[in-house]
Amino acid sequence: MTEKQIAQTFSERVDGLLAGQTPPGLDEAPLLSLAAEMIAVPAMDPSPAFMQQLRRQLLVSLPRERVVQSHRRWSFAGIAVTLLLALALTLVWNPGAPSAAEVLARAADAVAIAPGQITYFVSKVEVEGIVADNVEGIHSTIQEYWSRAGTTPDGRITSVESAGTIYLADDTGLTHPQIQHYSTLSKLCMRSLDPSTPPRPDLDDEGCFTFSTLAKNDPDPMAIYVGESFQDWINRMRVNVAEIEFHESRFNDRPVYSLTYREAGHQTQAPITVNNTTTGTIVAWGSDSVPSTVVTYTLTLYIDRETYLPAGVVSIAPDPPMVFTQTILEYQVLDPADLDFDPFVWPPER
Amino acid sequence: MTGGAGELDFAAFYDEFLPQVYRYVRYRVADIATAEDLTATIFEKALCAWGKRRKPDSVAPWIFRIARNAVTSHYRRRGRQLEVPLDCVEGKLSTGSGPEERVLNAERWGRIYDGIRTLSSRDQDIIALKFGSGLTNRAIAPIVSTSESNVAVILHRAMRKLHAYLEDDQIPVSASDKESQL
Repeated sequence: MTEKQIAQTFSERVDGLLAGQTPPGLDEAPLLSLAAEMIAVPAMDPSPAFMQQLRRQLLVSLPRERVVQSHRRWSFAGIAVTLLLALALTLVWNPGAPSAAEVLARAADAVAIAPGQITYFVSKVEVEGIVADNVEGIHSTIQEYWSRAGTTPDGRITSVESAGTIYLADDTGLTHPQIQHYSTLSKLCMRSLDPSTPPRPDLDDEGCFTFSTLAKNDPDPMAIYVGESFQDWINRMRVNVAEIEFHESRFNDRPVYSLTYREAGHQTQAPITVNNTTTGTIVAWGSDSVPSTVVTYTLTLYIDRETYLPAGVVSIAPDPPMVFTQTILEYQVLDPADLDFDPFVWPPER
Repeated sequence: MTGGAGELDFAAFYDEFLPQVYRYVRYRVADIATAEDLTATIFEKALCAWGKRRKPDSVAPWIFRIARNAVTSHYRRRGRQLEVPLDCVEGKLSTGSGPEERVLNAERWGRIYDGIRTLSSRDQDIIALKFGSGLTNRAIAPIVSTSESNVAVILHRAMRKLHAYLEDDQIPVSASDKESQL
């Protein structure tokens, strides 16, 4: 059996447990036995007092006309039109493998963001190559990232503010932040939460400096994510779709569309060091804001075949040789109203 | 219930979804007070959006996305501090009849909870939606923006990790205990 089949069977048996069935051999199946334990915790239910109190509280503030259910009834004519449309679509729609252009169009829709909206994603970032002190290696981190979209004077939608937290690679529960960062179009800020790491001398009292300062210095680890976004990559691939290598594949055990594009671009690379240990590397492409070298790099975007959201990206630069792999663990586009905190506050609360 | 929000009233929506949403939150946070606060916030947001006549295609993914965001916000505010499951310490989660059994159940759940907290945020979400809210993989998929089959794989892997954690976390059996088992 493949892992997918085993997982599917497991889920079916868990669904059986949830429905009150007791599968045979439960004691000999440790995962299922654990599942049964987790289902059997009764104190997970809300107390009746809490339910009633919240119900009263909410419904008091609900205008009466909204409490009264308003049934919308379709007319027979409406139903007939709908049925005809469904029939017509069934007859003419012949779903086949989409083209690269279609995949990129749907991916662009999936990550589309309006000014004011926030892109949030959690990713595992791995950099393989010469990352620090001419030492070759692989450095991995988990990164949580927020980006607020805004509009440039020429009407282009871009990230005007970003913030994030970097965790060690094995901290998948995001419990021990190592570095917090924040950037705008003109300012970069960073704070290490490791007390043994002294603050950089060129930072102001809030842990920030401006891009004009940055440009005078060597490639700097604070240049976190000044590179491009998934929206940028997808849009550039759409423009150059004739040059895309496109096929279906798997990435991080997910069925994906793989889109590969080669082009010359800027590359900046610098390590992040915490407590004398390199915990990550900052990589930025396509930016003129930080010192960089021009290389021909290969960029492969992986788009989830079902959701059309980014599943990951792999970029390979030949000189110095480096492979950057970003695996998306979670990706969401949020309205500010969805959040009851501001992820862009700097300095953040610890 | 899979209908659009325009087809049902808020009171019916509340009665149907509150227990499921509460149990999801309860799986994600350590104590009852926080779970109640977050659940109240989630339904206040839902009511607010309801009042603005938002009509999402399907209310279930919509309310659970609000719930996920509320939990994310909670941990963001708290700086992802590890939480002690106080309710377990107090024995409120216990289900056994006698005091000893209640303590054992509470300790066992405390270990399971600790194990869940070592998983990734997405793994925790899927476990909470499955075991807390009792949702099918098909219902979970749009909430966590992945496919139904991927939910099954993630769930199975998360349970394997959790089981491995609990195996590693076993308290060594003392000599006298071993004798008593014989």
